[in-house]
Amino acid sequence: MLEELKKDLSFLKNKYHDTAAPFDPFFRMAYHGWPGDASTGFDDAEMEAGLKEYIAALPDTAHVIIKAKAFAYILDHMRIGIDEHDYFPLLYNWNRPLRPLLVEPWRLSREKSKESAHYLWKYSKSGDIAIWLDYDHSVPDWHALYALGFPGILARARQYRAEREAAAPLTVDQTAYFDGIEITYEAILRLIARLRDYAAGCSFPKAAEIAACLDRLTLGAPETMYEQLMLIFLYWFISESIDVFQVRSLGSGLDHDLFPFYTRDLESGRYTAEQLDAFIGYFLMQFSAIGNYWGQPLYLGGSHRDGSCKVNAVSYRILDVYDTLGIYNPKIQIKYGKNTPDRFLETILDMIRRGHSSFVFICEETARRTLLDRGVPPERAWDFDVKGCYEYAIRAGEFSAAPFYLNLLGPLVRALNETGDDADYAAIEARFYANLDTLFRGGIEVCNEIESVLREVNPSNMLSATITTSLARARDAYHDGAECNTTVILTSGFGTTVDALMALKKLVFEEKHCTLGELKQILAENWSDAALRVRALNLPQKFGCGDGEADACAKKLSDFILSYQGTPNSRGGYYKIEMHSARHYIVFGAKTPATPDGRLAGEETSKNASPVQGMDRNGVTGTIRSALAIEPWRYWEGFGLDLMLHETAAKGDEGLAALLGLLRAYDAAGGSSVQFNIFDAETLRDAQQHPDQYQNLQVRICGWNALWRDMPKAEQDKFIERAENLL
Amino acid sequence: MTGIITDFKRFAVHDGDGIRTTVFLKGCPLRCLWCHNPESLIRRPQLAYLTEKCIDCGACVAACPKGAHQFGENGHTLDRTRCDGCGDCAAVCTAKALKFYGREMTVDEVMAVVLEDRIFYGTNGGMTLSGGEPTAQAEFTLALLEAAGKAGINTALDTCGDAPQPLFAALAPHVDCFLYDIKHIDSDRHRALTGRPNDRILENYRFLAGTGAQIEVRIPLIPGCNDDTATLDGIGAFLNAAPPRRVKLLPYHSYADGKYAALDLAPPGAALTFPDAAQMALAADRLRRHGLNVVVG
Ligand code: SF4
Ligand code: SF4
Repeated sequence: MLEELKKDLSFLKNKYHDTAAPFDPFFRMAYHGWPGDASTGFDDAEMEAGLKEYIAALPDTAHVIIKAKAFAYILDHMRIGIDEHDYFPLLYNWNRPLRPLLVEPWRLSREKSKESAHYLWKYSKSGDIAIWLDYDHSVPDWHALYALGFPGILARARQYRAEREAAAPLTVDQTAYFDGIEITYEAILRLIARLRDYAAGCSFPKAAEIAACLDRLTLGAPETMYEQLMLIFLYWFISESIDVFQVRSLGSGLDHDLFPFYTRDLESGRYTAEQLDAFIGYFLMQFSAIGNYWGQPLYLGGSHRDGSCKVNAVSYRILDVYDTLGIYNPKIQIKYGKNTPDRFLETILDMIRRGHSSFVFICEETARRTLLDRGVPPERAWDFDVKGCYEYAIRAGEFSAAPFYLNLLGPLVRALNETGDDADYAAIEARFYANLDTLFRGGIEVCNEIESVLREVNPSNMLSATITTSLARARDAYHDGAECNTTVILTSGFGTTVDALMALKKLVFEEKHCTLGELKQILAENWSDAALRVRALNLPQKFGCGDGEADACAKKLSDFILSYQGTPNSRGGYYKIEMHSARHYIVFGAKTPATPDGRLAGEETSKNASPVQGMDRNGVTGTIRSALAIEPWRYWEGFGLDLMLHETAAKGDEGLAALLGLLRAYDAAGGSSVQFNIFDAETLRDAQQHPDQYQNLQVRICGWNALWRDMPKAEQDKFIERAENLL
Repeated sequence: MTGIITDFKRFAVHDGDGIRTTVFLKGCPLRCLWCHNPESLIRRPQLAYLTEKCIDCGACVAACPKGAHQFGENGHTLDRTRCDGCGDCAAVCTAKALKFYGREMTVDEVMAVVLEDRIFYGTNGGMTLSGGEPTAQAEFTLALLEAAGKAGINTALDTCGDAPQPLFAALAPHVDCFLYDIKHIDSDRHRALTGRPNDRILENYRFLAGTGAQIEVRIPLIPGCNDDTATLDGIGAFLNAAPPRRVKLLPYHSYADGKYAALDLAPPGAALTFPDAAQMALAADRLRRHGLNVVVG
């Protein structure tokens, strides 16, 4: 059957996009590669026009009902298809064009809170903060979905409704809540039945298998691994593309989730091991083919409650199929700890050094420690979800909005401009922290305002139905119906800020190579003094080198940032900090003038908890020591560290052992997330010259992977520059 | 007590087991044609100058007590004959065009650097002493090994083997693994290629193997010098009498050319060629015929 998969690959690769055509990965979000069967539903224009008309005709009611009805309208009219080359169906419509009809965040938030909208605009323009109405990162209760199936989820919601109704009449809000769920899940079941009937009408060999699988899902819970994968795929696709909720993990530990189904299928003789491998392959290819640049996460590994490791036969099967396919999306997170077998980690490390950079390692113990630290009860903290890039959350119990990115350099640049030329270092530093405080407080205030209307912006009908606390309280799970509804602040430019503070101190106040006034002038002229800039760049006090002085400065900044953790949000939860810059190290960098560390105006800043590109002069051990100096275990949402190694350090048995040694050491010392890029500069330079020969060369950027050929030249140059310094 | 240190290498993964910090000690009795650490040959401090990195800032001119740095029509020039190796200029060269090799350090100072990366050493990683030739600074090497032992740090000693036997007897109890170079089996050829005969080297090998010491033998493979069948068979037969735990065959490369240039030295092995993967595999197979555990490094 793997042979069959290989034959079907070219179809699968082009299922959503023409992969041979030039494309911009950042706009690769419209799923219109394969048109589906035109007789089964609308095209884009028809859908948009029809939906607009439909919504306009709806009586004025709660947004949750309007959204659910609009959702049902799309599902009922969406174009579908089944193909002889695929075990998973095609759903034609993607939400981007339809999105404004389902959620209207900006209009709503402006109406509800005009003042916040004003600040939001002001802040975003300043380049110090980006506030971004993030209302859609979720991981449903997969275990409930496997146990109940779509029909069971609907039946359970009805039961909660009946019990509540029996006790007291429902309020208007509660009625809308349950109506929303019922309309939503009824529509999902109609769509699955429609897909089943369509498959039943096809005559190619896979059709009967597909029809039987879909039929099972209309009746209840999945019974085979294929049915389970189909459920995950359908939930994912419908939630992401129609219900406007990103699903930030496929399963709650996919290897562990699939294992009982996998063994049952094998033992009953229903499928062979090869067939099960193929189902995994067809499943993984769906996400590879869609190819969202931010990557579709799933995680593997972790521990059982008794402390034994969850790695099983399916863990290795997933890796093997993934390796065979040579894809980089989904991206895979590995929950690991002392109990994770060497062989499992070595398998992955070997894949990484062969060019699969789409793995992140998450130290399980540190992540659990962060949950316990914020008061999550041990029985809920032991089995957390890893989601998104490298964030952790209570499984089926916590939903975090991540609306708030902070450029740490902004307050420093202003501190320099706001203090007189006779200021001493302490005065500038104090001003910096005061500015930072203003930004934190202001940002939190705006986020609190906006989040207070989150439920009305984007009600989470699909998600809420899977979460028991939400059902029991009849409150939207994403808004405030979960055990924990948290808000995340993401910090960007940490390393650059530390280096800038150190350079300021050294150049002006300790080594006195220039006066403060001169430095300001030189910076205003974008480093008009080239020699001074070289001096700044070559200072030994850099974050990421394990330098004691720089690390102490980093610790002070880190402690300050962390002091905002735990601040209450407006959804009954609290704020968490994540050392993660996503793409904002570029976005903010572009808006930030020259800085004392030697960075030129507009250049990118450092990313995540990593050193400034090229400043990891003491190699990976220095980088890790600096990261540990700021205590990754205190970052409640996550802490990303990128390590870049030269390929000579990773080659042979010794290289593999060394990579494993790094992982083990990082975990034992309280590290958090770590990802590797293993290169030699020559390969990268060659790839820049001959992009066509390196179609699949990937590099890991801040939580997701990018294809080398899609990276802007300036970013490529930065990477090469860094790789050059590795030998 | 102090020693003369050329440099450190952190996250060294090919200098013994596990993750290690390699300490390069300055000075070596051999002069191998293919030496890739020319900055380690002589005990005396040396100044390397990377012309392309110089930004003509003039800081070195002011710092040098000997007037070795000058500014002329072509910008900055270095007159090595005046330099006495104090290192002051390298300390002020922020462009990192000047690099100073040969810092005098105490045992504690070296150990402080080694201990910084302690969390990475795990059960089998640790400190490797290399060079140059560590045994050429015998007392300091012994003191470092003892200090590492006290700190519970695994030790490896990378040696050419050309030192008095009593010294090896004294070092052996403090070394967890010897990285022992065998460059040629024929003493005359050895002298032609390295400047020294190999009798003492082979004798010390037999001695160490007899003490039960852990040994990894390293053979740099240089086409035309030591890759012929007779030489490989000779080495194989010699080692077969007291097999090391493994033999590592290292391909000669020319990565050191830049270092020679920065030191104003002519690479003595300019005419040498590099082995390709097939040559390496062939040589490894030849050695394996002698019952040895051979890896290509
Ligand atoms: S100090 Fe360095 S950069 Fe300045 S002139 Fe001397 S060698 Fe050149
Ligand atoms: S090492 Fe000392 S003597 Fe030699 S050039 Fe530099 S400053 Fe002058």
